[in-house]
Amino acid sequence: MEEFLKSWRQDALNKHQYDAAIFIGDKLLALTGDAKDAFWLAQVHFSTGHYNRAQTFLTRNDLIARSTSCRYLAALCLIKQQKFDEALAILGEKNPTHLQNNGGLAHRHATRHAGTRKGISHHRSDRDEHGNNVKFEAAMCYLRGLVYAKQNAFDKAKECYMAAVLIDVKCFEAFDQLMKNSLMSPQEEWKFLESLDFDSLSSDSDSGQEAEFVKMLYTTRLSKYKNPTSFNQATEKLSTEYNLAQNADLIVSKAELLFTQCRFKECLKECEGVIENDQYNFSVYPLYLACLHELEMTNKLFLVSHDMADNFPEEPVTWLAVGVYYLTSGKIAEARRFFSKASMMDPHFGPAWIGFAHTFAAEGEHDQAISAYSTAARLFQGTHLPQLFLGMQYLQLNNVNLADEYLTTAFELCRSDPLLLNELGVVAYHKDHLNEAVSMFHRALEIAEDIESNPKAWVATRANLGHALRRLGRFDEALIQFAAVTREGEYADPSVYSAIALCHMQSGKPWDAIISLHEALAVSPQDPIATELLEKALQENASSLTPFTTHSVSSEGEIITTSLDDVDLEIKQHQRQLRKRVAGGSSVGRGWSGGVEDSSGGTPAGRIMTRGRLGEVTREFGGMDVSDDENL
Amino acid sequence: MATEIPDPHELHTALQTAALRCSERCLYHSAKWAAEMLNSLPPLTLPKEQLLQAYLHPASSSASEAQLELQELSTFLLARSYFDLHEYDRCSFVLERCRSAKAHFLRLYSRYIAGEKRKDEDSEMVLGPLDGAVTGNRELQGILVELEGIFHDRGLADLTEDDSWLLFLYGVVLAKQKNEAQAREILIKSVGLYPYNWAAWQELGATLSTLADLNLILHKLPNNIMTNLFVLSTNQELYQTTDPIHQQLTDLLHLFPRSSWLQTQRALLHYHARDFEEAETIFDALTKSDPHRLDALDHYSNILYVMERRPKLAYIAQLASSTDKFRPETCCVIGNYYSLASEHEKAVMYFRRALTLDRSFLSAWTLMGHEYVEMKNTHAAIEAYRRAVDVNRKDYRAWYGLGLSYEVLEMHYYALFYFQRAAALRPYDPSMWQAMGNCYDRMDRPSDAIKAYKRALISVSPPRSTPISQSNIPTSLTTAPTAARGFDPAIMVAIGQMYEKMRQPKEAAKWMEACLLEEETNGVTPVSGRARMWLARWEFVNENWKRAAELANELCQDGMEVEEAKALVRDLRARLEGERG
Repeated sequence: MEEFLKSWRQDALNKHQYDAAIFIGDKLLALTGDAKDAFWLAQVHFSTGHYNRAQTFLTRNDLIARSTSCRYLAALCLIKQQKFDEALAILGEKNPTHLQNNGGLAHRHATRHAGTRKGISHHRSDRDEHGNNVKFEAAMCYLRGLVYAKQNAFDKAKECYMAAVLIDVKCFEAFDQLMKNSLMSPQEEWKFLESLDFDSLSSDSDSGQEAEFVKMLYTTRLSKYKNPTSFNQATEKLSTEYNLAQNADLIVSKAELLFTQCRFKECLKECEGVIENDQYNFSVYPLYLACLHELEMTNKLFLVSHDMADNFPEEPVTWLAVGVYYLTSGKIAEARRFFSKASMMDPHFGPAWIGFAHTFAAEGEHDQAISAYSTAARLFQGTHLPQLFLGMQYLQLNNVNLADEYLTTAFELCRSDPLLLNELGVVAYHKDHLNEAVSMFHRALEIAEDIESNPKAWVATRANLGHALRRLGRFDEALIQFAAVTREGEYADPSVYSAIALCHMQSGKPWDAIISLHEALAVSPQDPIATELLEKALQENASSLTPFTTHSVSSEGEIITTSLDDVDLEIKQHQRQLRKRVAGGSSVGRGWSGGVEDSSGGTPAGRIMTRGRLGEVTREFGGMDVSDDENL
Repeated sequence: MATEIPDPHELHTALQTAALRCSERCLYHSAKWAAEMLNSLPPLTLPKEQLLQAYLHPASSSASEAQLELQELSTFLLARSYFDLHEYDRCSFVLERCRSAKAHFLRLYSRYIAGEKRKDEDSEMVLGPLDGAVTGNRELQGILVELEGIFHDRGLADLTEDDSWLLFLYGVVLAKQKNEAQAREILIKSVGLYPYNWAAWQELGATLSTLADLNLILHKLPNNIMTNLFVLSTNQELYQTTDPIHQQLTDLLHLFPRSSWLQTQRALLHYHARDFEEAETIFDALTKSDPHRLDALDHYSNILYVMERRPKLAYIAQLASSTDKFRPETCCVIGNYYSLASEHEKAVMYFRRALTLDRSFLSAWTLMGHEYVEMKNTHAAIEAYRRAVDVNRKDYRAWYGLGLSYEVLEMHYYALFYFQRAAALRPYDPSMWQAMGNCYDRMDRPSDAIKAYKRALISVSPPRSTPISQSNIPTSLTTAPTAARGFDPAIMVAIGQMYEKMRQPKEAAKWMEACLLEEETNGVTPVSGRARMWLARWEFVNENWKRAAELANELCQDGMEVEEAKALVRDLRARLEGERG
C-alpha cells in the first residue's frame, strides 16, 4: 500500500501534477506519520510556490528540530518570503566548521595510507550515514550566506559560502555565488580552489577522474586575471577529453579570458557562437554586450536590445542591453535610466551597477560617479574594478592622495591588472615619483604581454611611459616609446606629437620639434598646448643657425653643402675680384677703401664650397661604388 | 661614361611582366607607367618561337607559390572582378581564406582602398571641418596589425619577390602614419626585391625631403635601370636642375627614346630653372603627339600662366575638358585659366573640384592657396598651403606661400620657419633668403638678417628688372634667365642698413661702398643711387666734405634722388663757405 502510494506520488511529481502529489502525499503521511513523508509533502508545497504553506506545515509538525533537511527547507521558505531574520534564527549563525575539509584531509590520508578494507568501509559508511546530513549542512551554510548577503553583510556571506563549498565540494550554488559576485580576490580564489576537497568525489576504482573533472570545471570559473596557463590547460583538457568544446559555459569562460586580454574581436566571435546555439543564454550577454560596446557596434546593439526587450522584458540583462546601447550611442541620460532599471530588478547585478556609475563618469559628474562606484565596491568586494574606477575618478578630480589610496586597495586585490598598474603609474607620475612611474608602466606593459593581450589596447600606457621617460630626461628612450605609440595608435593623437616635440625641444632640436608640432596641429588645429609649444620652438629656431646650411647639386653633379663660412668666403672673393677689376683701370675712379673686412689672408682661388663627394646624382648605369665622404 | 645599357630584350620582358603583374594586383597607375615605358622602347624584333604563356599569366617564380596561386585562381579572379567594380569590401572578404602572397596583397590592398574611399566620403567638403587629418583611414590599423603579424613571423631576412608587394603596402601604411624612417626602410626592401613596381618608388620618393636623404639611401638601392629613373625623378622633384641631371636624362632618353614621361621630366627641369620657353616647347610637342594625355597637364598650365599665354591656356583647357572633365588635372587647367582672367572665385571652385576628385592632388592645393592670397583670405590660404605641404613636403611654392601669408599676419616666427623650409629646398633661389632676411629684420635680429642677406647675395644673381606681376607668389616671381654673376645692390643696401641698425656705421659704410662697386657689373640703378645718397650723408656727418660733395654731385648727374642730393649740395656749399669765412 505504502509502496503503491509512494510510486503514485512520485509519478505525479514527475509530471508536475502537484495537486495530485499533494493529495496522495497527504494520505501517505496520514498512513505512516513518517518525517520523511512530511518533508516530501512540504517539498511539493514548495514547488507549487506556496512557501508560506510549506513553512507552516514544517513548523506545525515540529519537523525542524528533527531533521536537517526539513530545517533547510524551512529556511529556504523563509528566504523566499524575504523573512531573513527568521531564516537566520532557524539556520543558526554559526557554521559547522568541524565538518570542513580539514576533516576531509584526514580522511584522505587515512584511506590512502591504510588502504585496507576497514578504512574503505569506514569511509563508505561515513558517506552513507552522514553524507546526506553533511550535504544539507553545506546547503544550509549556503543559505546562511544568502541571508547575510541580503542583509549586506558580505564578509559573513563570503565566509558562509566558503564554508559551504569546503564542507561539500558539490555545493555549486555557493561556489557560483562566490564567483559571480566576485567576493574573493583572484589570489584568494586560487588558494581557495587548492584547499577544496575534490578527492572526496572520486570513487575508489577510478584514479581521481571525477575529482579532476570537477576541479577543471571549477577552474574555468575563476578570475581570469591570474594563471591563464592553468586555465588554458583546463579548458584544453575539458574540450578534448570530455567533449565539452561546444559547451556554452566553457566557451563563455574562454570568451571571458579573451575579454580580459582585450582581444575583443575574438571574444565577440566566441560569444556569437554561443548565442547562435542558444539564443537566450543570459549568462553570455553581459560579456557579449561589453564586446559590442568596445567595438562600437551600435547597430548590432540596437538589434540585440530590441530583440531582448520584445522577448524578455522581465530579465535585468535586457535592460542592461538597452542601457549599453544608449551608452555606446552617447545618449547618457537614457543609458542611466535603463541601467538603474536593470539594477532595481536585480540589486546584485554587477554590470548594471558599473554601467550606472559609468554614465556619471561619462558626464564628468565625479561625485555621483564616486557614490555609484562605492556601492558597486560594497557589493563586489573581491573584484578590484570598483576600487580602480574610484581611483580613476579621484585622479580626474586631481585628488592624488585619495586616488592612491583606492588604487592601492585595488592593487591588494589584484596585482596583475595592467590597467591598474597603469593608473598607479599615473599617480606616481603626478607625485613626481618618476622612476616608480616608469617601473609601473613597464610592469603594466610586461603583464599585458604576458597575458597575450592585444598590444593596441595599451597604447595609452606606452604613451605614459614615454612621458615619464621624457620627464626623466631620457629622451631617446622616450622617443622610441612615442614612435611605437604613433605606430600602434588607432587615431592620430595630437598630444603624442606634442610630446615628441617636447623631447626634441628639450634635447635642443627645435627644427624637429616644429615638424612634429605641425603633425599635432594638423590633427587638431586649435590644440592650445601644441600652439604654445610651437611658438616657443619657432623662437628657438630663429636663433639656430642650422637652416643656413644647405645642400644642392653643383654643376659637376656633386652635392654641395653650403655653410655660413662659405658664404663669407664667396662674398670676399667676389669683391676682391671686383676690386681688382676696378683698380685695374676701368673708368670709375671713385676712391674706395677697405671694403668688407678682409683680414683673413687670401684663400686660394678655386673651390670655395665645402663639399661631400657624391657623384651619385649622376650615377652611371651600372656604376655602383659610391663613397660617401671622400673629400675633394 | 661607363654606360652599361641593360639588354633590350631583358628590359622588354621585365617591363611587360611588370605591367601585367601590376594590373593583376590592381595597381593600375604602376601598370600604366610600366606599359608606357615599355612602349617607349625602340621596337624589337622578337624571336618568333617565343610565344610565352608566362606573359599572359606571370606566375610566381617559386614553385610552391605558383601552385598556391593556381589553386586559388578562381577565387582570385572573382575578387579581382569585384575590385574592378569598386566593391572593395567584398573583394577582401572573398579572399579571406586564400594563402598565396598575391591574394594576401590584394585582400589587404582592397581593404586599404575601401578605407580610403570611406575616408574621402567622411571628409565631406574640401577644407570643411571634417577634412584633413581629423578623418583618417580607419582600416590602416588593422592592415598594419596583419602585416606586422606576417613579417614578424617570417622575419625580414629571406623574403622573395612575391613579398615585395606586401612590403610596398606595409611601407604605404607606415608612411600614412608618419613613421617615415621605418617606411623608407621597408620600401627600400620592397624595391630591392622587385624593382619594377613604380608605385613603390613613388612612395619611397615621397618619404625623402632633402637631397641629403636621397644621398643616404642611394647605396641601398638595387642595381637596376629603375634606380636611375627614380634618382632622376627625385632630383627633379627636389628642384635640382644642373647639367649633370640633364645629361642623365639624355642618357635615359637614349634607352627610352619615345618616353613621354621622361620628356615631361625634362620639361619640369626647365620649368624649375625658370626656362619657360623650353618647357613650353616640350609640352607642346607632347600634346601634339598624344592629344588625350592629361598627365602633368597642370604643370603645363602653370607654365602658360606664368608666361601669360591666355589664348593657349584656353585652348589647353578646352582640350582637356573635351577629354575628361572630371580629372583633377583638367580642373587645375581650367582653374588656372580663370585665375589668369582674374576670376578668382571661379578658379577656387575648379581647384576645389579637383580636390574633391583627389585630395592628394598637390597642384590644386598650392594653386588654391595662391587664389586665396589673391582674394585676401589669408587664413584660407594658409590652410590650403598647409594641406599642400602635407601632401608633399617638397613643394617650395607652398612653403613660400605659407611664409608670405604669415608675414601678412605679422607672425614673423612662423613666416621665418616656412621660408627656411623653402630655402632648404631651393638654396640657390635668392628670393627665399631675402624673405628670410626681411623676417629677421622685422623680428629685430639684424645680425641674423645679415646672414640671410649674405646667402641671398651669393645665390644666383637677381633678374634685371623684377616684374611686379599679379602677386608676389613664386610661380610668377621672375622670368629672367640667370644673368651674369653680380651681387644684387638692393640686398647689399639692406645689409648696410642692418649694420646701421646694429650701430656699426663703419661696417654699413663698407657695404654701401661695395654696392657702388657693383655698378661695375650692373650699371647705375635706383638702388645704388640710394646707397650713394646714404654714403654722401655719412661722409657729411663725418665732416668729410669733399667726398660728400663728390657723391652728391654724382647723384645729381645720374639723375637719382636729385632733390635730396641738391639739398645736400647746397648744405655742403654753405658749410664750406662758412668754414672759409
